[in-house]
Amino acid sequence: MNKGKIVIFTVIMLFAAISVRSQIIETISARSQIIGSLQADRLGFLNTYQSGGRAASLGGAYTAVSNDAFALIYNPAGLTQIKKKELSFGIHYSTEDLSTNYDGHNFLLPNSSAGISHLTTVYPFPTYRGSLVLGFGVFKVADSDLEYFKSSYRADLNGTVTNTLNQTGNIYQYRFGAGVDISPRIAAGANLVVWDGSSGFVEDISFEHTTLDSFYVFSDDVSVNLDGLSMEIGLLFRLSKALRAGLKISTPAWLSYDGNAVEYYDGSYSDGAGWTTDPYYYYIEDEYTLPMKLRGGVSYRFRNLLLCADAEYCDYTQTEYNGKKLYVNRAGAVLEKTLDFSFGAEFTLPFYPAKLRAGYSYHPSRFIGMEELAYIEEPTPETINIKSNWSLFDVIKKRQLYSFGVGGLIDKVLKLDLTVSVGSFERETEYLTETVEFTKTSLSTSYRF
Amino acid sequence: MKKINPYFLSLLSALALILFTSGCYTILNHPRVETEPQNDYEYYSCSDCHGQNAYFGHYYPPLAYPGMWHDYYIQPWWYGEIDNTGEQDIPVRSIIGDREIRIQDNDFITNPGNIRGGSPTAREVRKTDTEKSNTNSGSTKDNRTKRIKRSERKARESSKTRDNNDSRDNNKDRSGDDNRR
Repeated sequence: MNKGKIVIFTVIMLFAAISVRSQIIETISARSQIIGSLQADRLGFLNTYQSGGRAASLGGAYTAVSNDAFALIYNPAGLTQIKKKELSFGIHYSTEDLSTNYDGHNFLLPNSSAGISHLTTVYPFPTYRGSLVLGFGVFKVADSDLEYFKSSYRADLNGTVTNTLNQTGNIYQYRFGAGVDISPRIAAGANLVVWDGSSGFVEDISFEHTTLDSFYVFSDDVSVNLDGLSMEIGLLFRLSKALRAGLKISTPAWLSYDGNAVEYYDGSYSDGAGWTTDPYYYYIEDEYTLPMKLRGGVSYRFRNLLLCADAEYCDYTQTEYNGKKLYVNRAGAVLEKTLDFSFGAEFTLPFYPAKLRAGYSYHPSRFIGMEELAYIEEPTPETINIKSNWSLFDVIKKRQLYSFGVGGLIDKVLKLDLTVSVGSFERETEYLTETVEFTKTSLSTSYRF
Repeated sequence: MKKINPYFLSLLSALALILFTSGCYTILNHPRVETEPQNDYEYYSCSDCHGQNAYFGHYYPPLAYPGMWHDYYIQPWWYGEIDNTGEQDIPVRSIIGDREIRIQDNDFITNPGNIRGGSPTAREVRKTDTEKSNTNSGSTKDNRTKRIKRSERKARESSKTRDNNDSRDNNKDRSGDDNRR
């Protein structure tokens, strides 16, 4: 095939892709306004908080501590404190029980996941003065596992609407970091963060008429890949031998979801006649820009006791979806400014190579609204019109995590950290109450040589 | 994937430039000085200036890390097995940068950190090459120099005395041998 034919073929394929895409946007126009918000809420990339064994057990208050490979997450300037080559590896087991109550109908769906949480390596260069350390790590920062089932009788539709979602996926970050001492008391560092992930979900929206024998189901099968880039700059101030302060600025993160999907629409009328639409294949090219974040922390060491605290501010209202701010017509903005904070304490046992830790962290919801229920209005194959009830919610139970952990040193080179975090979050709208209870157990090991 | 923001790239480049060309504090390689030390108070070794306690002084005091954790958190890997307390007498070897420094019995390191603490446990690194370190600047350095000089003198005097005694003994032995002959 010569070059000319290749160009013509590519142009035709592009037009075909664009036409399919525009077709599906038209079809689901009523709901497309909130698709960006839905994805942001479900895929989990706004909730990349608390990673790591020791760091998590301190509630994530690690910006001014950061003296292990998790400096790559919390404060790259903290890398300068690492004096030995380090290999670190961790696994986790997480559970997330989601219970929904829509219009008096209760459903409890347990979700769980297990896997590798991080793999890192750190190399401190030999120095005569100061410190220069490079690090690289792969971190699982969030997962997109989600499963829910909502069902309700809708008097206005004279039937029962059911929504189900079954979603799996992970979000990883590849972090390349460097830290350098720029004065006896100040260290600086930077991270280049490459986002990577994948997610897939099947969503069904079905309706069953109460009196007539009619039924239909709209099914969406989506598979997407995540790519993204961001950067972080950190500073660590050694104010005294015991007191430190840390600062981290995260640049906006540019995320891109690319993938493909297929939609089906099947049903039957009350007279028994049925329909099955041809599957719609379409491409997904969604882009998100997450806003800058500012994080600060202090730590104080008194003998065998380490105390630390962190705060992180982010104006999530600046989040963009395909170049526009996320919003929903009637509800307006769907995100808000947040201030996360956390505290931690660590006690080093005097006569045994072990440490006991406890932490607390508060992570307010980034969203102020959520989808209550989706349904199809006027169910005919010619006019598919998916509608969504999107509503502002009240927070009943704040998203707080309590962490406990223990760490031990074996033969002076191998450190093991075990952490258990528990928390919950509850929000409600007029018709829907959603409660999430989560636990995360992580085991982290690091070898220094 | 979305096109990368040019401002982001600029920021990235600027930061990388600052980090890796600053060299304002962190020193990877010690300046090489070819000349032999001319005076007693000149430094013989890099570790004269950059002793481990001076190095550790920027971090949590060792007290905060009980002995069991000290090696894991504080001891740099390139310092190998040098004892930062300066109190061990066993022969140890350590790789510092790209050079090897052999520490033998009766050698001592003049460690500013220790001396500043008021309990000079002076040792001197026997040089294996002709390098000597450059000197610090400022009044603190002058004080240290005087103190180091005093401690070095003391050590050298005792060393000289020992050497003299040894040489006397050797002469005795030699003369004894001669007599036997």
